[in-house]
Amino acid sequence: MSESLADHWDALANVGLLGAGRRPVPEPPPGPATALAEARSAADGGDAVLDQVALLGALRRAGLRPGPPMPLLLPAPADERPACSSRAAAILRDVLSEWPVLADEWFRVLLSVGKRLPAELVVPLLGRFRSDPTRRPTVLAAAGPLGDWLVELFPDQLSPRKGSSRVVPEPPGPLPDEFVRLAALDPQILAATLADGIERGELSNRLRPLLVRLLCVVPAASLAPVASALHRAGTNPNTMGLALSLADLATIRHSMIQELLT
Amino acid sequence: MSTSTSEAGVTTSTERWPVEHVIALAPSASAASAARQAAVPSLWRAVACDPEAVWGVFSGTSAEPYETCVELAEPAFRCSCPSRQKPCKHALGLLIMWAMGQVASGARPVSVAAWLASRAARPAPQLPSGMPAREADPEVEAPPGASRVRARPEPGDEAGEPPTHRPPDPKAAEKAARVAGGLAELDRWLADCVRSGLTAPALARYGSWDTVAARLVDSQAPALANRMRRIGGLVGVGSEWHELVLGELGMVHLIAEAGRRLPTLDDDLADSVRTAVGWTIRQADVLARAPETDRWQVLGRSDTLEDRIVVRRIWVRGEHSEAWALLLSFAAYGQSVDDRFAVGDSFRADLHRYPGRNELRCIVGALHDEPLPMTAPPTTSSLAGGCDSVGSALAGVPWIERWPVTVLAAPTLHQRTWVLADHTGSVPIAGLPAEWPTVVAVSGGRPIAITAEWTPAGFVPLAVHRDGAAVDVGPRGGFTERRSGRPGRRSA
Repeated sequence: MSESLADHWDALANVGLLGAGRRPVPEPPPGPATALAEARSAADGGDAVLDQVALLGALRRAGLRPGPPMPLLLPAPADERPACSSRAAAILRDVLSEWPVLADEWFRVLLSVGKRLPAELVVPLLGRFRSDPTRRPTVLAAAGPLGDWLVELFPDQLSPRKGSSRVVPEPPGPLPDEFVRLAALDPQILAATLADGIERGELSNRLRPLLVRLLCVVPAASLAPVASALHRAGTNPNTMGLALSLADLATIRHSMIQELLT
Repeated sequence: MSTSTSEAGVTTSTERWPVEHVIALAPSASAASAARQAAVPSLWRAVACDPEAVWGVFSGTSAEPYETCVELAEPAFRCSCPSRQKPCKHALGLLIMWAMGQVASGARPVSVAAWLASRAARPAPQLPSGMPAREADPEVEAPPGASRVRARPEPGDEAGEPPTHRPPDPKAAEKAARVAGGLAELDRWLADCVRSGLTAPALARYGSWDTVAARLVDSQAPALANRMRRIGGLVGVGSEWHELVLGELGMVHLIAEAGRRLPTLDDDLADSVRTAVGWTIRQADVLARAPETDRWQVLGRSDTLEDRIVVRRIWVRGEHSEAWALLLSFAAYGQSVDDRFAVGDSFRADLHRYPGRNELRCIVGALHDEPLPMTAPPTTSSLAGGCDSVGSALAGVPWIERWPVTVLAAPTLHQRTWVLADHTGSVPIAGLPAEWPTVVAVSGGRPIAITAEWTPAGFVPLAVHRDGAAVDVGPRGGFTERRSGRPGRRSA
């Protein structure tokens, strides 16, 4: 006879695993299990075990208690820097999914204004850039002491993969002079120049990579006028795609800088 | 039957079944998969429904269109396709579209009317041969009532009268007998399992469980069928699978026993048993129940993939009542699940609770305002308090599969196993969820408010609440979606 309900459960689990056809039905300890066994004395081995399993299953679930207290982890060291806003974090998600060319600037601005990553972004970013030898240190710097603390706790997920270091692409060459000159224009003139150039077809999709790089380096003050002008230029069906795409880039970069600086 | 008209102009029945119940009618997993592919409105014409039936013509890719009709009460199926499977993929596909509100009300064609009339005129069908002797049990033969779901009794409210006061419904009696027969057959199978042992080779094959589930569907016990499929998926998984499976078989045995004694149970418990078995409850009947009006905090979300249907559970709790409620939604074919309520939001609304003891599932009735970020932090309990609330719920309905709690606890590592811990003890985490490192990151190793689902396998973290915001870490069941909108995207 089992001495306790816990022992009885163990005995039932054993019989359930091996089969009531091969093992005798365990005798329950005095109490509700015995009462049930007596009330259902006609039940054969399989039915009797099922009855007892149902009863003990219900008792075990209803009697749910926490296990013994456990020592807590040594907490992550404090980081005095404030976390960036949730809006800035949302913009980073969009940057990473749609305009990854802006990601480095996002981190650069964050660090320059003395802010840190929100805790909920640290794991996904460390995971994403775990094998990127240039961006991983940046993420760790933005994460602060929390990043190192997490890497220690989850080395399999967050440490760099051995022998699989990502090949860093060659940085693009310098912008051609005419684009450098464009970047230095007054914001309104730059906006009008880009919009007119696209509408007239002088700035076509062929130049898209250079135009993207241009919008990544123009001063922040130029972004809003450029976005507005490109939106207006986006009514021409022939140039709409390029205009709206660049307007989107200007808009998100503008929002990103504004949000991180405030 | 009450109806409503969607923005798209489709009149939808308020008695629609959940999509999972339709899928549960499929004779096999492959039939369910084929049905999903047939449930595309562009493949159909002349699709319509009325309170008793849904019908349409499947054009698809076949040279000859198939006329399909489903009578909803039994349900019964008719299709002109050559398939020998009942129900065929066309009937199931039609039902899925209906369940998802893609079928408008319409006038019954002559052929459908004639078929339904012929069914109404025929004598009541004999129960299938081979049904177990227990179905003759006099305890079982008492019909549970045709319209068992009723509004919460109020003084002077005739709607609160027990269903036994209503005229007996022969179809309900037939259904009750069929369900009872299925439960008896299931119970014999369970006893056989225990007799031969959980290591028997047959139980290692998912097909064995699927066959049992299909028979339960035939017996009109679809929820129990789904549960059996879930149990089949646990066999051999993890080091303690046999204890988990045995415990679940015990719970199914309990449901089967209770299902054969419905007339002896109190109303609330009988409703819980019917829910566990899978009796369909009309939405209109739920909406007729007294509403619970409160500001509801959205504290957790969990998406699970069940037979390629995404099941979304949104856990909400009343700011004033502190009552928990569950908003359940389903999506198939890459359709969107209900995303009106994001974790961390709160909204003022009337919720209508399904009948049953400790029942959490609710339908949103009147929405008094739009969801906004929560202004009050969620109420938390200790781990011991959380276990108490789970235990109380399970003492009332032992076969419950999940129960929500919000606790103030810290994630910690003990002998290479993660647990939640506080001064009252520790509880295990079910598996190691993909988002668990984020829970640890947000906590920083310190106690933090965490909403989790209790399950027999352990606690499943759903959300972490900190500084007035919530981080949604609930399971996504293979389903991904964008979590962030782009603020001010087009308004530089």
